[in-house]
Amino acid sequence: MREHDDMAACLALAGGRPTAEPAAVDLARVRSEVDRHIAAERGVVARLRAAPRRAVVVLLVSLTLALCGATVALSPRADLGGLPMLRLSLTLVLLSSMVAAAAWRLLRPLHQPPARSWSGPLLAGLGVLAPLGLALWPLGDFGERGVVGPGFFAGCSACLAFGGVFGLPVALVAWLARRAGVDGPAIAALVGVMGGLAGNLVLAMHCPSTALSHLLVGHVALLLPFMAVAIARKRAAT
Amino acid sequence: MPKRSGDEELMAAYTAGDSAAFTELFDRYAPLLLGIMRRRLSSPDEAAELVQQTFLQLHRARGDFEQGRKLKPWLLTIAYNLLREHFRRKKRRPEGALSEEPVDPTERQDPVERAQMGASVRRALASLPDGQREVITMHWFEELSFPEVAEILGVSVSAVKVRAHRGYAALRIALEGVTKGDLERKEP
Repeated sequence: MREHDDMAACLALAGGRPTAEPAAVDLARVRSEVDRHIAAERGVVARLRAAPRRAVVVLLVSLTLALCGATVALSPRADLGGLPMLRLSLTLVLLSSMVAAAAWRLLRPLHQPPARSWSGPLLAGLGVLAPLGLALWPLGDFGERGVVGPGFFAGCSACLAFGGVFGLPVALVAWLARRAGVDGPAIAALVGVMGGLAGNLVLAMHCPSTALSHLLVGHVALLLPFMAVAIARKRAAT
Repeated sequence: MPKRSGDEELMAAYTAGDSAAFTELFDRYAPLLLGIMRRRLSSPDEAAELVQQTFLQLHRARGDFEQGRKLKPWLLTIAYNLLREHFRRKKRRPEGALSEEPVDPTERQDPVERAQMGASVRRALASLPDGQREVITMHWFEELSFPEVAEILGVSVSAVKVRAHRGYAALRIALEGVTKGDLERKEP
């Protein structure tokens, strides 16, 4: 009991119990600022930010799959009908699941305790490994790996641009849905991961190339500029 | 408007669109939040900004508030997460464990000596590991119960108690000599 009394006396020296109204801050001014910010919360973006996390994740995955569907409808790969069903299914499930997982972590609400510090970098790493693993997956009887030939960089650039255009809406919606810019660059990178994964999924439906070099440089590498831009945006904002 | 006593009722009303409920929530919690921020930040403007952000985030997350939950730890978790982000951006630890408190003029002890002892205690608190300091600050100064602290930090109640115990033990070592007995001896 004496130890508790001593500790209580020491902690009381440090500042005692909280007082009702700390000096030198006008709460009325704070309230008017709050009202001003809340009044500015209008429109689609405000509704997106106020939506439950689960709903936004479903929206992002649905958007990803819709872009995929649009690609199949408008510009499918010539050999889509011959693509092994297992490969096609795994590509769809794996990449869209990674989009969902990245979105779930990115949109973790502030009223929950902080997540483990390694969760963001882990998901970002898995987001890169998923399309990499699919690219390295043995083709079997379907297609050939091929070699680097003339037009390699032109072909890769075309795919990067195509995937970038389709991945951008997903990255943009993810960025706008964030309620607060908390957590570090690794979390911001998840925005880029989502855009890159959506782009890879679209490219899987569009590009018939099975050459490993093309898949690595023209498809998987799409994640890098997306993540770099997301991290740069985060740094610029802080 | 009839007086509502429950924070959770007010939150439900605000979620349903009652702006007067938000006013009452602000009046109830803004002073507490400001005290939390001022205890960790030397700048009143930064403290006010984080209180604003907390209420803005409350507004954005209002649809997430589940019936049956307690509002206080829910809201304080938002505040502490914003505070954590503030320090992460500035890449530094809390600016002293506590803000300066005015010396009570009715105290018979020498105010200068009392202020020096207070500074020693604050330095000792600031030297604790983050987890221990946060638990002691939340429990002792912000009068949160151990279950509330556990909910905000996302750990078990037993983990909170262990951190508090270790923190107090470390403080006792750091403050050897600054005890109630010393205070008593110094009174005329």
